[in-house]
Amino acid sequence: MKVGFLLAGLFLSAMVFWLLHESGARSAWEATTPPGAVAAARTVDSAGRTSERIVSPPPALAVIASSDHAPPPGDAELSSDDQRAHLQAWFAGERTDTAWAVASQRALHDDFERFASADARPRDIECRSSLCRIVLTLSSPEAGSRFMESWLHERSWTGPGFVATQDTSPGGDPRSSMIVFLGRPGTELPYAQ
Amino acid sequence: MTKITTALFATLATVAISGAPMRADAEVQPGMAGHGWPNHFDTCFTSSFALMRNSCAGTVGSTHLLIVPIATNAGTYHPVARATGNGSNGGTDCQGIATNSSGGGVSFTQVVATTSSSAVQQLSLGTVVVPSGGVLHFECHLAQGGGQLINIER
Repeated sequence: MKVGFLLAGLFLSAMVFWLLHESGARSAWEATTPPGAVAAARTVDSAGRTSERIVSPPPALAVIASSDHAPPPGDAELSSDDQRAHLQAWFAGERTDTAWAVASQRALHDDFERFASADARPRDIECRSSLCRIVLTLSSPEAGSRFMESWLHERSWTGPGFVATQDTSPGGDPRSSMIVFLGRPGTELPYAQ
Repeated sequence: MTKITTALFATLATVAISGAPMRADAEVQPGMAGHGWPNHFDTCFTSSFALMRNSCAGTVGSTHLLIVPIATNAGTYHPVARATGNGSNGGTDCQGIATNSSGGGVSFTQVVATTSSSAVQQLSLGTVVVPSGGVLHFECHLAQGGGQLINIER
């Protein structure tokens, strides 16, 4: 009799397992959860202090987050250009945490200037509430790669990041430029999935 | 009551197992697969079985950089490094870096450090996105006087 109950339990669990996978409940949940939201719940500022503040994506980004997380049909992998566009949209929609932004911009200026040269130099550094964006002016794409390699080896900023080259600088400057998105230390970048 | 409990337990156990994350494609790269930077053949690095150790003495806070490449396909990864400090006054830190085939696109994790303890510590590096045709490697600063990288799992 006990074996009968055990078998009934196993049958019931198999049904639950099948229903979970058929309905795609887990994948639907993953697709609608903003990637940065959970990780950003515990943040560490540039001074190493930990806070439990929830850093929610701005309301204007809710649509971007939910629509971009589903991979495009027939193209499961996003290109660097796609990621750059996604991060740019996320950055543009963020409100500004003035205290953190000012301190971070100063820290990043010092960190990047250590590696600046005539071939690669930070032109614009701007921080919002969970992301910073740095635009580098380059004499060539190769100079940008060398700059980033050196910076990554010895950087002071401990947060995650994403880098992409651009063919021309904003404003029509014919020189190459590189755009760098950096996340607040202790958080994740809001990548498109 | 016991029979109902048995059935319920079997149900819960199966559901719990089915909901556990699958890590079928997890890959572990030993620290000894790495090389030095900027000196590829940095003689401060000594290996013992799978791990790599910075065996050079130095000033407090000084490190040697170990680069560890790992084979991977395009995708999103949440790598973990296992490392130690030097046991007295220096920690080891690691980050993961993915580059695309042209070198113009780079994704990198946060930098996470061990304490100075010589016990093996697990460093969750966060997320790194490897593009199609891209490669993934790890960079760890091993503390002077015995900092170690055991392995990296992606």
